[in-house]
Amino acid sequence: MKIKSMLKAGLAASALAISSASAVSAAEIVVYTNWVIEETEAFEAAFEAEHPDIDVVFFRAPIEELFTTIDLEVQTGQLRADVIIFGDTTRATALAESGILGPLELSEEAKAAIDDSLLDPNGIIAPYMLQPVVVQYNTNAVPDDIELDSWNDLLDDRFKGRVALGDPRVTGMVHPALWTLTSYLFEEDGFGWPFVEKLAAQQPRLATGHRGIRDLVALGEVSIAIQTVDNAVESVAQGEPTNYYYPVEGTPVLYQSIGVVAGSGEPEAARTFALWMVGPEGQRLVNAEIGALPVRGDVPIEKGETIDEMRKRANVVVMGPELTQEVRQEQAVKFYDYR
Amino acid sequence: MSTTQLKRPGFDAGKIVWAACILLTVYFVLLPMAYLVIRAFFFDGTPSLSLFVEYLFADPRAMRAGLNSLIFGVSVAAVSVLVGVPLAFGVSRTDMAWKELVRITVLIAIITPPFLRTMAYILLFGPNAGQLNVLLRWAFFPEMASGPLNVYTIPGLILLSTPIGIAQVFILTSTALSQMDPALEEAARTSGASRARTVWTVSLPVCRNAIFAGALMAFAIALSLYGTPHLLGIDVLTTQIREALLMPINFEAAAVLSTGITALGLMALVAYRQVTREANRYQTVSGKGFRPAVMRLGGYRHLFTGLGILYGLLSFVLPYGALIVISFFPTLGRLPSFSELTFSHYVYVFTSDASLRAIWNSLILATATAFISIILSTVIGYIVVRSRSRFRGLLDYLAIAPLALSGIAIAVGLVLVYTSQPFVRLHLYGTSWLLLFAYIALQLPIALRAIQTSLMQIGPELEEAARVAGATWAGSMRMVILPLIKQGLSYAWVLVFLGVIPELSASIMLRQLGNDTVATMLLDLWGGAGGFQRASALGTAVFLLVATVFFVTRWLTRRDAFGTVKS
Repeated sequence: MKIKSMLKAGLAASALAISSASAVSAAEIVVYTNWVIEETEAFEAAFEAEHPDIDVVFFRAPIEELFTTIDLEVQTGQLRADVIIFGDTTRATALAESGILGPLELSEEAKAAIDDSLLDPNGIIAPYMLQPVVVQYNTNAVPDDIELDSWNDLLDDRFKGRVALGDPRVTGMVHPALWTLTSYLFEEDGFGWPFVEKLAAQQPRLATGHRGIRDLVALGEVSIAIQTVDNAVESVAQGEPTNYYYPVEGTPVLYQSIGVVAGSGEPEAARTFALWMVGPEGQRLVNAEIGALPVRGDVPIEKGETIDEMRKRANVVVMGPELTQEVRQEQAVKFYDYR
Repeated sequence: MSTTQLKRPGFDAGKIVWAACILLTVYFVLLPMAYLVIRAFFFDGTPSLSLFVEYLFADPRAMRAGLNSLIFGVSVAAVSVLVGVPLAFGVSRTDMAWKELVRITVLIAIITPPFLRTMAYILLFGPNAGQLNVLLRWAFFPEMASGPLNVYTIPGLILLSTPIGIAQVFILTSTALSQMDPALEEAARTSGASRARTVWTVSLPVCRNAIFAGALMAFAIALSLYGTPHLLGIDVLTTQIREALLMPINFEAAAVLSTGITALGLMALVAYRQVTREANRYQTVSGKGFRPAVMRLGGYRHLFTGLGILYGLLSFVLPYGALIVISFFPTLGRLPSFSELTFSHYVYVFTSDASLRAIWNSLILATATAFISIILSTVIGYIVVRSRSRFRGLLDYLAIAPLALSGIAIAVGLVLVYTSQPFVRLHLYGTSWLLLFAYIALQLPIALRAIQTSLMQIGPELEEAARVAGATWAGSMRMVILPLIKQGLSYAWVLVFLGVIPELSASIMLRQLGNDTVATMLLDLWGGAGGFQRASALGTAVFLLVATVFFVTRWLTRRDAFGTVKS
């Protein structure tokens, strides 16, 4: 009798466990990104609160490493991502053209809120973030009476051995700055590759990530650095002795995109996440959590400045398709030639 | 070396175990190396050196990286000898003070990942804002705007990498010194030689093979380091290999550079094997027990004590002190008040999904690697020590070959294997299996060395008696050999476990979705995903974990000699 009761209780418990497990079973999607861990955690929590039936798993790595992974996984037929958050748009376009990404039709409401020039005419990828590249400096190392506003300030003698930028071999977000300096701005105005040669003479510190650059600037180990606006904004918000400016000659703003993998095992869940990123809450978090700018014009920003506000102080260069893989590679090789 | 002639029973399951272990060793070690060599030496399907010309000899950056690697390796070996030999002599043979402190510091140097020390030294000796540089400028060089020391240089790279090399030289030399026959020194003294002359002409020459072996180990370890040169931004072969496998992926360049670094390491390994053979490193089994006299140095003993304190300060107190302090800072760039100090970074380390997953992955992989390496090493060690197989020398070389390999070269080999036919069909690329394979290959020689030492200390008589009584090989292993080498097995298990936790070179190349380890997470936190304070908190926590396992086991097994940790 006793054994029977125990068996019954065991069966009941098992049935309960199985039924509760099936009740909470969620579609799991894998998202590849170059965001930092704390950002992935914030987005995961916010999305899953709205969509408890979808479980988001992030894989994060620096941009170049991330795309190495994607490339090798595609080669071996084992791409495990359902959604890819791209550090730029050209690579998203390249994957879309090769058929790896599936369609991601934005709603009319979303399209209306986004600048037409950022939208993919083929409806495969969607812009989700604007990332200005700025110059960050340590306020203790640069006295207030020195007015900083130009790329040329990086070449100031006082900053020799105290300049930092991302390593072009590893970090993707240094490339918009290099492109602006060497391809957008003119050599006769003191830019082009001769500028990079002078920058190399400053013996800059090359970092593998822009969060690391933020720490080096905050510590004072470097006085001035090429930086992404999200890190510059967060550093100021955290009370670190830093500030930043938009170089007047040309402040690159890279728009970044998101796409859904065509062979995703959870296409609906993947599409739901991607569209949520372009929706009001995802766009709010792009600014609130990352510190970058939303692509939607109808989402107010809490941190930093809008593109229109930036334009009052600097020439803003919104970039998308210019930074092809070939351009990036050429920039990295040439940079090291000068270094 | 005595060997046992085994009976040939009709069927012995032991032979199947032998064959399986040999095949697995070939699979883990030889397969990735073979893929590397084939990719490097074949062009369009025909043997060629053209890839070496293109990606090494005709590439100025690769050549510079190769030269840097050589300078780096040789310098680490030289500094390790210059510091390690006096330390070993002081601890083993003199009346210097605080010997135990030096021993413990050496052990800590072995279990500390070099890149963790580098992180700390960037905070201390960064040329512009490194806290000790600021202090030195304030006290002695007020006119200087930066420096006086700069960690981001090749001398900085060398000095940051030497503690682990010093530990190698220290262990081998102090073992040799404590095992030498005191009659040699006594004869010299009786002949009228001064104490210094006796040391110089008798003691050190007796240990020269051990010293040379330590130097070669230091060279091989330095050559394989990735984390430290990566953090300092100095081009060496390992950083170039990593770069070759970033977009756009260049497998040929990665294979050529990996083959180059492997060739350098193998040369050191062959030399190491030669000198350790000559040094008769297992002479404790000879049955001779020596206890060389302690030299009373008078005032000179303070020189040795001072050297020991300096080593402890630079390799342990300063770096861990810096990491611990920074791990409580809320923000960087200003000195917080006491009330502002925070535990939040530790809370993050022990509550965030990402760091808990990384810690869990590392523990699981380290445990699995330790068990598999121990099984393979026990069988391989047995075959090498006890069998009369013609191939045992070859097998021994194969199993210890990874001592010469950089983790990054193994990782490149594994990527080549599992992204090419036919192994791509196994769908192992991107899984934790590749990390496990890399760790097993890298740790096999560590386990093998420890287990071989234990096996060689057991006489063949007991096993022979068991076999005569009808026991199979498996039976005699279970009933005789394994109980006798139990302590050696547990010691090897811990060495492997501790070697895996901080491994970075292979991990950074093979980590994929969901299989980050503590080492890759540390590098991510430092480089961009969480900040210096969180990296310091995780580094401190990992060190405490590893040190606890290490010292508890040391106390339980009461062993003194320790192997290597690569990072």
